[in-house]
Amino acid sequence: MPEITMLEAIRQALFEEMERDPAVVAIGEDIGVYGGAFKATEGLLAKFGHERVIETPISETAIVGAACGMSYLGLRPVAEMQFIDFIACCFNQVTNFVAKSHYRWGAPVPMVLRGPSGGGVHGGPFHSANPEMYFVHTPGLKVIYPSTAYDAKGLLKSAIRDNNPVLFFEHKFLYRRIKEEVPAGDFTVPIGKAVVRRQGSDLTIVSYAAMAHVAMEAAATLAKEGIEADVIDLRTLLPLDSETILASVKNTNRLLIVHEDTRTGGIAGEIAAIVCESAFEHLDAPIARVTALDTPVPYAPPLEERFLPNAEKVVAAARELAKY
Amino acid sequence: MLGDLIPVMTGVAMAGRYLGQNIVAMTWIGDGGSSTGAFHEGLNLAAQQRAPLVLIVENNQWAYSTPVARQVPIKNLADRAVAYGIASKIVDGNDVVATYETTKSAVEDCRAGRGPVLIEVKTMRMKGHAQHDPAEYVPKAMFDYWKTQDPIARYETYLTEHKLWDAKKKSEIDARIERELDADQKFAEESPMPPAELAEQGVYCEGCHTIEAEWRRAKKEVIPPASNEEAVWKVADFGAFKGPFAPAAAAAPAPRAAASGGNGAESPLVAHDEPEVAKQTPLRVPFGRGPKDRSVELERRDKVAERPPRHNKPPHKRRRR
Repeated sequence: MPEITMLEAIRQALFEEMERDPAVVAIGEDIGVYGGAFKATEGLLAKFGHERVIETPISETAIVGAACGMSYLGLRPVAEMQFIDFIACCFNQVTNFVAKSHYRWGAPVPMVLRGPSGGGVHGGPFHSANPEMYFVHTPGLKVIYPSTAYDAKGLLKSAIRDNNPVLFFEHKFLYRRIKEEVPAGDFTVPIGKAVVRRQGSDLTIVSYAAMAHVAMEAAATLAKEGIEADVIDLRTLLPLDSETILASVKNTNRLLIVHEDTRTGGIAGEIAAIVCESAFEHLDAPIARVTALDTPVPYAPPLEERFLPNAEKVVAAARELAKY
Repeated sequence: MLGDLIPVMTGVAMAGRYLGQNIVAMTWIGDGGSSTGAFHEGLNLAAQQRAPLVLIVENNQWAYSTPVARQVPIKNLADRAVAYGIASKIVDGNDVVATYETTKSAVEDCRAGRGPVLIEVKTMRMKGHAQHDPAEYVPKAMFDYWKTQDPIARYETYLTEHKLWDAKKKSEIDARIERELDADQKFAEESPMPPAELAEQGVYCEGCHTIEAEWRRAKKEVIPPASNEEAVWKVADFGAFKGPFAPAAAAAPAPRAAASGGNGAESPLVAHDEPEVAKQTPLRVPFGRGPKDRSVELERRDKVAERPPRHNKPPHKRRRR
């Protein structure tokens, strides 16, 4: 099996799905001739033509609205946000129209809204956001945030085939930095299923996207100190796989949640609530979280480093938990 | 939210064309909603895609309590179309036949592949924004004028004048409408409220719908290798400009024959004549409440200045009332 980047895995998923089903079309800014800001759609136009690779003006509301309208006629559009930060421009269209469509009118919206997100690349406050929680808080949507090339390909295919609007976050730090063997053929990864990346019995570290790699790095360091961590990669944030989290916490009795999103209102709070509700008597220590600061993503490298969680911060928090 | 359907129906129009369905998408917005971002983004995308979309702007003079003159500094909402490079029409919205004919021709233009059409329908909101609103801010003279323009009365006159019906036919229709309304009201009132547990259902489509596109063209046209051709709605002079860097005409690939009729190469900017109704409607309406327009205020001040002073005594000698 060839080793490919996460970016290539996403590109392959788009190619294969468009080839498999003529109802799949791509829509977004600069996705055609240029191939997208990160080249995720490179080659699509040459192969599938202007009818299926629709280049739009800079108009996020129009992109999402049109994708929604196309899905009403049975198409499965994949809309791209050039940077996921720009999703704020079409917040109304996503949360008020797309998300409520099935509940309000019984009209399913089988569309995917994907885009590069996350920091660590010195993108500054307008090109580094992790806005997933606005949408995790929106019933009617599904929210995916993969951490590996294999998952990215399999989950994007599942998202395209799903009958509901799916937000697909692609961490731009991981785009070209991780490589792994991914089967060339057709496979899917189920939406709503977390995966245990590493098994341990001393504490549970729950994370996703780029922070899943940070958690793994921290777990390796902790193992040298004799602390064995169970590392869970959520992969899907909505619906949340609370079963996998609860099963692990019941075994390890300690929970540490790591995310790159800002602290207040991040998914750590929701997971902590679920664990307190359903596994309180299993906890031996308070639930800890390592998250980004409650600030916009800073631009200057030392500031962004301070802002983001890293393996050291995770290790320090885990050591505290291990004391209980 | 207001305007949301314009990009959505643009998508429907694009999908219909893609599937070879030869449909025209239609959607409606009011004068108030024409100021939303979604209106402008949707219209621009429809224009850029030359999507078969008919957008009806129902200009009923009032967005809640705000008259058009205080919403936008343009005379006709149809003027917006010029900026997007699409055709527009203005019609007396209280003239049933004219509205029908204008809409029909717009749909035909769309179907022929000439791109979107905006129709401004001039009419009047004869009641408040909703049940709670007595619309006291609307000048009585305005209501009085529009009462003379009642579309149903005008259409009835038209039918009578053209001998398309008689008194008997009219009473039959009236009776049927009454019957239908009564039946619907009865049905609504007698229908039970939904069970409370329904609140938790239907957030997601979990196999309740089968999603399948209705293809009216051969799928192989959109599957490689056939798919990598020019779009059918390519506009010849789109974005063209004169100058040393103007793209060579020869470089542009010839548009493929349209699957849904028309070659889409024309982009007729239909200039609209000012209709009678626009001339009759007072452009600046006096406001019942709220701050007055500045020009009105200045006019009033000028008049005051012209008036001879009421007091001859200096202010300190005037007796206070």
